[in-house]
Amino acid sequence: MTFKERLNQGVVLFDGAMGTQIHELNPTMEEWDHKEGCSEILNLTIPEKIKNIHKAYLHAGADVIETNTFGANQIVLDEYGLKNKVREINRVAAELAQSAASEFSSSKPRFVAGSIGPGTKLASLGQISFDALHRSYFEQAMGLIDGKVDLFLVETCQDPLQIKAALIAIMDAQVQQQVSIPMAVTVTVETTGTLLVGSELQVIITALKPYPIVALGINCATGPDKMHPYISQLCEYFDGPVMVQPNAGLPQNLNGQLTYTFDKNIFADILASFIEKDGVSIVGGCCGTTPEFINTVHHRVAKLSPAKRTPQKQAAITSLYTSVLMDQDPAPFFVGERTNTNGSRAFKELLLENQWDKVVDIAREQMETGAHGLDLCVAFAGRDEISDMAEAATRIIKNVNLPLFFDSTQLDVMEHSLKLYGGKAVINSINLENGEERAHEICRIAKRYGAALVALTIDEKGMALEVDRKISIAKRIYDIAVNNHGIAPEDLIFDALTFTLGSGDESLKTAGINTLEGIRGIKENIPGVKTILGLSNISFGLKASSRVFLNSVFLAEAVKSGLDMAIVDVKKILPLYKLDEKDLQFCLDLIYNRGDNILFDFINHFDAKSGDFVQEENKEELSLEEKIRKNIVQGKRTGMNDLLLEALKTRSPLGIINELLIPAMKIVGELFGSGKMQLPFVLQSAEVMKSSVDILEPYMEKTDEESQTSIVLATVRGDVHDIGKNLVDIILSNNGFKVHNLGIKCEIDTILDKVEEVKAHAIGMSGLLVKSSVIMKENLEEMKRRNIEIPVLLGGAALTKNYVDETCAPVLNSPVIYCMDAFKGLEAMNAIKDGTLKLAKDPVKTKTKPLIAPVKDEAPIIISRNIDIPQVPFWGSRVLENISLDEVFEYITEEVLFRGRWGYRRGAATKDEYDDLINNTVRPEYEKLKIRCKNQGLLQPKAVYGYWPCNSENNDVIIFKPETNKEILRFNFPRQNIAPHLCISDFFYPVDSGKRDIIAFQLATVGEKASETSQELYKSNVYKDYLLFHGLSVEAAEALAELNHLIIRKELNIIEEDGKGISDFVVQKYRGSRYSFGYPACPDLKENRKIFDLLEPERIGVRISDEDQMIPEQTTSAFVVHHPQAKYFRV
Amino acid sequence: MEKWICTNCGYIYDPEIGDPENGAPAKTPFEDVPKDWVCPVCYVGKDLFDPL
Repeated sequence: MTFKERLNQGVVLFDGAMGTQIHELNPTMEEWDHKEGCSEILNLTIPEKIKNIHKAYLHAGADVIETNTFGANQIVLDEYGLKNKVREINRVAAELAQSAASEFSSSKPRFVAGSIGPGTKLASLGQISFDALHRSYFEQAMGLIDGKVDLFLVETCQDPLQIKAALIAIMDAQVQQQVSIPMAVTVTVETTGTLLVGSELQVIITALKPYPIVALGINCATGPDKMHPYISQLCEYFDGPVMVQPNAGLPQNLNGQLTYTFDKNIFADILASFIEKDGVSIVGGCCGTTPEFINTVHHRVAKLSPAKRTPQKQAAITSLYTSVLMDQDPAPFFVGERTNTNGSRAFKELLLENQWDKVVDIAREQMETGAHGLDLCVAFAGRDEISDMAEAATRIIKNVNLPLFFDSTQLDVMEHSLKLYGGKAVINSINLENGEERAHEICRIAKRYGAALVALTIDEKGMALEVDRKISIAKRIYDIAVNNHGIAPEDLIFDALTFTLGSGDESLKTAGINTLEGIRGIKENIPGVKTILGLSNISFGLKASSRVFLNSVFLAEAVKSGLDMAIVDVKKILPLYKLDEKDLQFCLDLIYNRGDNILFDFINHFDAKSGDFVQEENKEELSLEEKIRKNIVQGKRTGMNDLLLEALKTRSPLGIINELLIPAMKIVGELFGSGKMQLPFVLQSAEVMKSSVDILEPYMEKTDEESQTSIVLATVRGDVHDIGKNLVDIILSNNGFKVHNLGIKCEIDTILDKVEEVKAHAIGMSGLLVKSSVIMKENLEEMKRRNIEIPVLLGGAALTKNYVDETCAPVLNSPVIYCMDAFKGLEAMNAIKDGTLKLAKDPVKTKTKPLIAPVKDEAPIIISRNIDIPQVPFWGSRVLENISLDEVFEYITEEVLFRGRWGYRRGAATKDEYDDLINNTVRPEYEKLKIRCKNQGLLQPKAVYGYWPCNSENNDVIIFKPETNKEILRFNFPRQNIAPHLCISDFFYPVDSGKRDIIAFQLATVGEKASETSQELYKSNVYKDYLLFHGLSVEAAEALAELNHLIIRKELNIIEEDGKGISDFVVQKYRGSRYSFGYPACPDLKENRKIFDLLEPERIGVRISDEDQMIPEQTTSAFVVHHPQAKYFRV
Repeated sequence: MEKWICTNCGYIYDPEIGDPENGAPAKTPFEDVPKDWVCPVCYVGKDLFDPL
């Protein structure tokens, strides 16, 4: 059985650590052959002991063992003077492993993987050349083939360029020995979320796609508990088996020894969940794992089958650091044309002066103006193109985060460029001008280095002007590249060529139409391929001012015809709305050849226009500082890294934060305050702020945290709501304040202990519940008692300014500030920092009216006792499951979601402006989020509800066991101490009336997953997503309660008395009011426990906390009172 | 006169009707509703209202 066949049969188990086992052997100096640390020499000196390690893993149940050849490449062995033994050591190591495997192959097939480690030098950082790496791996691969490995494992990879060197070397060795052995790759994702050289995992997935690897995975770095995000990314995007070999956790330093302490059972459980939940099919261990671990994993996973996966197909290319989709939305993918000796005079001059740093600046500027990739051409007669390309490319690759298009006509230039490039590049270009043989050569290079290809529709007869020729040449190139060389169709990017419309040449009058038709024809006739256009040719020879217009309009037309990419100077592309109708008309007429003298008219029209555009252009040249500020205000992260690094040349990191970033956040705050910016956009800015500070952090000296103004922030005792408090944390900590966020349900002792510990300058208390406002006041009293009088900021939905000013503030001698939103909190913190926060004047005793104006005593409310008691459909409780999320969404009060939970408030905007915002921004976000919730199962609506017989007795409502007279429990409701002295019990027939009344209870949740997802988003610093998701989840629970409420009223047949529309709901124009504990008519949350006793919602995964609140947060409970006079009131 | 909506619960303050029980007679524009007036449904303050 081959390894590939085995892979198709289910989960494959690899072995665990080799190094850890060798360490245990504690070899003598003799055994090391005086090369201590060179584990590979042990294959020769103590082969039996190495074999025993293999046997221990085979005994433990491993299907695959790895050869002891992690460092057995030429470069590493050379460090021990073993350069000439590379092939021998690898052969012996493979033979050892094979002989161990053969002793165990009777029970099940066993395989030997030739381990190929990364070596000690990083090619992408220029520490070693591609060719030297290739030679080093080639020798190793030759030895492993000699020793008959069943597969290659290129493992613990840290650099995509190193992976490519290894894979190419292995393939070359296989060709030489005429064998075919599968290859797998595992990469190491550091705690930073990237490989050591900074590549994101998506780069690896994209860059390795052109290679025939049987599996891709991750290993080493961390324990399995930290790997899930990367595993799920691989499973979602890699089109092949996914493998994982984690460490036994992170090493701990115990008595000077590095020790791995991860529990093997948890290790096995996590791997099992990777298999069952994510679809991983190969597992094993890395550093710190032992045969015991592997045996535990073996027992845990042997019978599992991997979850079914449907990996997403994405056409992409990459820089060294990030992967970029070829299909941009909106199209097209912009390829910057200015790093080109043919496209930019400035670039050419810099090249001639060898000003390489300024060459990089041109590249970077294009990124900042919005290019998605860069065309790089250094060809210049009389200069060494290979060396110029190396000088320019190495710098751009490291410093500019955009994929490169290597633009050259020379094969050796193409090949040398690709040897510098770890990501997936594009070769520009291939054509048939010099016949098919040369095209084959270029395809070989593209295939070998995993590059995409720009293909020009030129053949032996020249450039194709006619549509048919464009298409037929494209088909010929497709045949060579795809059918002959196995290049993926999406890696062929056809340029249908464009010719100038500015020459007046009769034969070129339809060139624009032909190009557009060519693009359409290629896309229709050759499925899967991409298209590109060197755009500016269309206007060659025309005046610069009119070219901008013609290029922009032609681009828009080309995109309509199916164009995917365009080579342009992005700065000179105008959005079409900037064109007036006449400009547009003249351009379209010229492109579509409408009218006899169209070129003449076109020139006249644009000549008559002044040079406004060029001037406007100059105005848009912003200074570095302005760009940084603008990015923060607009919430744009792109390019920020480079801008900040540039700013670091002239400013200190702290200077950048204090002088640029925080003032920019101040603008954000002002925009928010004046109602010109909505909360989600504020959070987007805060995200950029956060990531900017993260970028600057490594350059900062350890800041003296004590000098920072600090605040202790908490949600008060008994309250579990944390979104508001977290928003305050986000805004304050991204404005230079130190925030100690203590979380939810905080006792005042915890808060004050922290205040003393960190010597905080202020306290922030938050809470959503009505009773939290009371607790805040009690907390202030406790502060007074303990003599801690520092400023206190209070916030939360149940608070009002009056309550804070009149009830809370007088308690303390320090300022107590009502913060309506996070920015009011920021304002207060700034005042504390500047020492300008003042104690409010003695609160003016305004003539406060009671919250409910006393209803005049002469009009007491008489509760009718002449009400029919509805028939219940059943007694006791029922669970509602399988509720469709779509149905729940229908009951969402969008106004509350958008304006309340999400903070998209109209404020000072006009109604039309607000409608625009809702329709163009908010609603699309809402739709996307709903789909995400559905697809990923983030909201899981469940409910339980039921009916019980009941009666009132004074302020109590007694609940009876159905069909008996046995009392189960009783609710105790408070009574208003002002007129009309209402109490909820009034709405039920008294126990001595002789009539048994009824009451309904309901409890609805959207599940634990919603809470978890909220927390994950918050912790990942995606503030806006956090706000939006959390808001939707809370409103979805509310909507589900609404739905359940409706079901109850239908079942009780009191529905016909409903009012109309959602606005009638909120003013209760219906019969069957729904009350929840914690609200003004029944504020005592403790009573929730009784609802729990009746409904047993543990069945749908809802618990009640010690503070009597329901967990998950996205849960609501209520009782429904059928009496028509039962409305909301406040006690 | 503009209607205002409570962003916490969706109650709409209609100045034509006002909230006479709570100190805002009919025809009171929202701006003139007493500062300490609260949403009659969910009891949040005026700050949390938004023009419809």
